[in-house]
Amino acid sequence: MKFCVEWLQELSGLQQPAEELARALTRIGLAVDTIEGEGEDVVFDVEVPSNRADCLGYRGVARELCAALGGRLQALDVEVPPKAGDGPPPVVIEITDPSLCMRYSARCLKGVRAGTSPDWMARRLERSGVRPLNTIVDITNYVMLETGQPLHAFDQSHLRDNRLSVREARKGEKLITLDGTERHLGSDHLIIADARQPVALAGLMGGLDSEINNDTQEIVIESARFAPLAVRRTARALGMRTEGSQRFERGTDPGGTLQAADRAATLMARLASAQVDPRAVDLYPAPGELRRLSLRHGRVKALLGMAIPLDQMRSILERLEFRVLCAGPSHLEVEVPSFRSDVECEEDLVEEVARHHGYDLIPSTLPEARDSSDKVPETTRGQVPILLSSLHAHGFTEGICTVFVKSNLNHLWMDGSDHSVRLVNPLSETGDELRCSLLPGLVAATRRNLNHGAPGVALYETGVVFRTSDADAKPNEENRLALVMAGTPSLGTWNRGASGADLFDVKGALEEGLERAGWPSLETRPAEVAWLRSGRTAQLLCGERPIGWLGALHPETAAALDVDAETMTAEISLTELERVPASPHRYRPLPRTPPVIRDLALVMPRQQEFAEVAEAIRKLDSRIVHVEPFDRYESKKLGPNHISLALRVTFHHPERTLVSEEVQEMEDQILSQLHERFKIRLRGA
Amino acid sequence: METDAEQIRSEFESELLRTANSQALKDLRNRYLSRKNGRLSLALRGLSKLPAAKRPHAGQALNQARQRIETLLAERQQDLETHESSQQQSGDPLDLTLPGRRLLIGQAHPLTQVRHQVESVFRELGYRIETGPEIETDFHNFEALNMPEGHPARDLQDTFFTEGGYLLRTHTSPVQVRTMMSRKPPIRMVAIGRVFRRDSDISHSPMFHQVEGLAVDERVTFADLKGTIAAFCQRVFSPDTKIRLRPSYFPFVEPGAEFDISCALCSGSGCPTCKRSGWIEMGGAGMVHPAVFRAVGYDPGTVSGFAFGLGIDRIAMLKLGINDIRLLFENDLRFLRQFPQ
Repeated sequence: MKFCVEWLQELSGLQQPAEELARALTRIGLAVDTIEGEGEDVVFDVEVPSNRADCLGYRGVARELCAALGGRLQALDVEVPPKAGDGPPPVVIEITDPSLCMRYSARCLKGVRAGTSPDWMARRLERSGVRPLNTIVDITNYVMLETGQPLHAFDQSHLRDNRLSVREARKGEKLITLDGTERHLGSDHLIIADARQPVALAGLMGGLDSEINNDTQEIVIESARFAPLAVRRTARALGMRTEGSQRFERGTDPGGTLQAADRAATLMARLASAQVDPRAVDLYPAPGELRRLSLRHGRVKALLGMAIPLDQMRSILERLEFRVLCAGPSHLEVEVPSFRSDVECEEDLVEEVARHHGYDLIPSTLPEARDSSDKVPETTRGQVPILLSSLHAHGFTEGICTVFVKSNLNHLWMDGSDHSVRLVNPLSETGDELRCSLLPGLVAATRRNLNHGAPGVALYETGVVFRTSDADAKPNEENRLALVMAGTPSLGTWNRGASGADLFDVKGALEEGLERAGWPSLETRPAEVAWLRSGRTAQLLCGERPIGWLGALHPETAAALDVDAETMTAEISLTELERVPASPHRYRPLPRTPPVIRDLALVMPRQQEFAEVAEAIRKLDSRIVHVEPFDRYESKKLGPNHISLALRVTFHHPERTLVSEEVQEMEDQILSQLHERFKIRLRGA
Repeated sequence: METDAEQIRSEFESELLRTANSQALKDLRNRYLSRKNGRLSLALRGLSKLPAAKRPHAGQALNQARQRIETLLAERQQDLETHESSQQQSGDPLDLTLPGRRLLIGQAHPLTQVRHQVESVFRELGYRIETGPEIETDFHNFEALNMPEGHPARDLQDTFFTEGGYLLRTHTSPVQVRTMMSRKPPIRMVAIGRVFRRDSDISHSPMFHQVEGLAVDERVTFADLKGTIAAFCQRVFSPDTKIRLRPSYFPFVEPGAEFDISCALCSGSGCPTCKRSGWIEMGGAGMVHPAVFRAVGYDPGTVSGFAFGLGIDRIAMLKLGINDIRLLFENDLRFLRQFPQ
């Protein structure tokens, strides 16, 4: 809220320069964000904490300044005629439910001449961010700024039967508010009605009908204490927020309503030649007692880690207008003023004392080192960081994508077994659901990078994805890792070209990462999923547990995301993976005998899987320790149904050097087995 | 006539040092060992002219010199061969001003890097890292944190709701609630993670990251909170970082505070980054509110605690000099690769 310094100085009697006042306010918890203007026009923008309704008024802030710097808060200038006569009240007020409106005070005035406000008032309003309109409206705003109590002025001639009642609206009732909008009302809305219909939204905005204009002569000033929740509910239901509602929602001072009405009446009498009706109306059905709290010296010390002398605490609280009812040897009994509804417990008093004593004076210590009560290891440590550092070594850079995804893109990754999670109130249509896969975000990031001219992209992300099986149940969160590769992400140099990425780059990065982290080797199983291309998709398993999918994007998925179909992806569930036991690396004795290596150039049917061949070879003999492919090619000579695969087979015996005869024997065995089982033959044979 | 074996050997050795290639070495061998007119062969032949008594001794010395020469020749030969073969392979001298060959190495996102640093600082201070769900219940996100339905502070944390009545957590504080509900004091914990608020501009992203520390024990004080924030900020920023606590309001702490760090750019004299105040707003803090202790089943009469939280994104922006938070979530490799680690 904006505060003009000249007004604060007048109320507090403090004449310190603006900078000094600003420092003091910031120090006691009313942070001055900006200081603008010069001389008379200096304005503070103060960040008023959301529990301090009293500081949404100049007197509240001035009171804090006085407590901090030793000023004396000026009394409210009120001059109204003494109560006279017992005749009928000038306006009949009714509160249907005191829980919605604790107090309703009103003053009536006659012979009003609404004109233009004097310069000093208009300037103060303007500096505080309020546009001057006419004397009457300006005075209600001025008193709201001064006291924090929102006021409303009705044109009394437009109130039927001279009645006002505070009640919940009935379904079907309507009100055209000051801003010209027709509001359709219901029981969610707290209103002020005359004998027939709504005339104002309580605490929010008046009705157009009873608005003050230049012809207005009779006025009712409303100064009420509406329940914060009732105003909040009305404001929410109508999507409105006004200067008044902000203050009511925080809890205005029930003790100050009549005074504020009188203050406004005083100013109207002076500035708009009004005659104030001596019969104030003041409905206060159940005035509560002021809150009493005790503040123990020991509690202050225990909470702050520093003792503050009792008399100093007393002095601080009294400067803030708390009443000290009783001062014991080690505690104070205090009464909380009605404008401080935020002070509810002893800890709140500790804060009052601490902030005016000065947070700066509290020492700086460290808590005692303590072992946690729980010995279970942290969930964030473990194998995953090892896996990720391996991805870095393979050239993958981490991305962090938004969790908000457009539903049609999200649905590309749904497989029908569960549902995506919709937001009730998305920020925009492009993010109306929570991601059910990391890939939509990561693929979109890939596209943007390629559009910027990156020759290739290798990105990964870890994070939570959201799915639900039952619309009412709490959605399931699964931690995942996804990789995307496209284009030519590796670096070429002046003497060696870069090579394009394929699925084996993605697979290799994962294989290496899992093994380094101590997990079992990655296995693949041919599979089909909706978002990946047929024949370019595999299910990934680790320790026989399915953990995710590897594959090139399905052309339709790629088209929907506006990327090339040669976009390689993998996505695995870290939640699942972490259920697979990882074993620590342990020393294996180094071989004392040399291995024998034989290369076999094979011709095999195109559909034959390598893994099956390798497995068959390894199973033949325990001395066959390793089978790896080192070349694969296709040629016209081999025909369309065959390919050539060159295998390197390693033979080894831990105890002795193998002789060439026994290696030859095993090699022959391999070849006959491959031929028998898979119709694989040696190339050239 | 030459019979002095020692002299022949020493002259050979000095010549040997001057042979630069195989051809020169071959010539040298001929000059000393050639049967026809090598110096050693000649000397051996000259032995017959010596008196019989001196012959055996002189002969022995010459043979030793010969052996030595042959060994040295062989060694030198090998050295030259190695050298020459490497010269033949390289051909012309290399232009070593050409750039070296590099691997493309990936990296963690700058936010993750900052997160790791923050985690390790907290571990150093003896805190455990705790995690919690990103979709939360109203109880854990608001109610247990002393923000009952209708509390105005809820408006400051404009919330995303999912179907089914759940919400995206607006801060990491629900992790405090979950941790306290599942464990007994003493607690020293830190929660780091994504949080969500319906807000988007140059300094607000609807998704951002927070870190939050909580200590609960029999005698934890506001002074401990100050010391811990200072220790944390000095480790994360720089050892001469100063901190300032200002009273502020958060429903789940009392007394509450906001904390600032001294501006590293202007050392407190005032610059645009710190809005000329010399201080940069970092986060919120305070002593755990008794209502929170009651909500999680702790007795506020026997335990006290502090909590403080701040934005990881904000730390990263300050440390890396980024002025638009959205850059952090665009995943532009030209941006990400500026922060290799």
